[in-house]
Amino acid sequence: MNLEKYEIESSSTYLRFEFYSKGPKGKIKKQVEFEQFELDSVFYNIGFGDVDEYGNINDLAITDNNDGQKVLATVVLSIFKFFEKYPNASVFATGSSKSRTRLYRIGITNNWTEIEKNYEVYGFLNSYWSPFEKGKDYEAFIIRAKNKK
Amino acid sequence: MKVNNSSSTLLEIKKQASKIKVNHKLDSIVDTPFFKKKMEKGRKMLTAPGLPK
Repeated sequence: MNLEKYEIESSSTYLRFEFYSKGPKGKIKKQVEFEQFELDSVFYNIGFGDVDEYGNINDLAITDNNDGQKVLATVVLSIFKFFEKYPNASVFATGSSKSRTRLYRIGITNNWTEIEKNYEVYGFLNSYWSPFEKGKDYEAFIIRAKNKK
Repeated sequence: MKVNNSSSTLLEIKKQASKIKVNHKLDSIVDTPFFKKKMEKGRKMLTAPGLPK
């Protein structure tokens, strides 16, 4: 990936990733986590949020650490790493708020060149799934590998 | 007598314990209420047409 990104650490299951945002607001721990919808389902829900000094998690936090692009690129990297372990999975992504969903869209758009090489992306709009198109105000996304194993 | 004493002590401890409030510290996003809501939202969306197979 060409965009600058943070170094990530993952759990042995590759279902949880952590990294630190560094900027004017200090060092802020970020967590990305994948949860399978149902046992045997190929769909996994992605969660992303800040972890404060007391270990509490907030996915509505606006860190404002002047590193938004780098953070989004790191979240996308976490998804790529997740697919290394779960190549047949489909990742479902939606935000906790409209603005957070918009952030996911920006993350996909900014990293589109790298994403479209190996992954298919679908967007959910007006109660219907369709292949992702830049500029559309989707409510949710699905990402999956093109060449499943 | 001894048995009665220990059972009453146990009851007292249980009573005290029930009054103690424990703050549950979440260490995982998937345990949070907002993530559980997203799971519900996702389940509904995954039944919509056009979903890739």
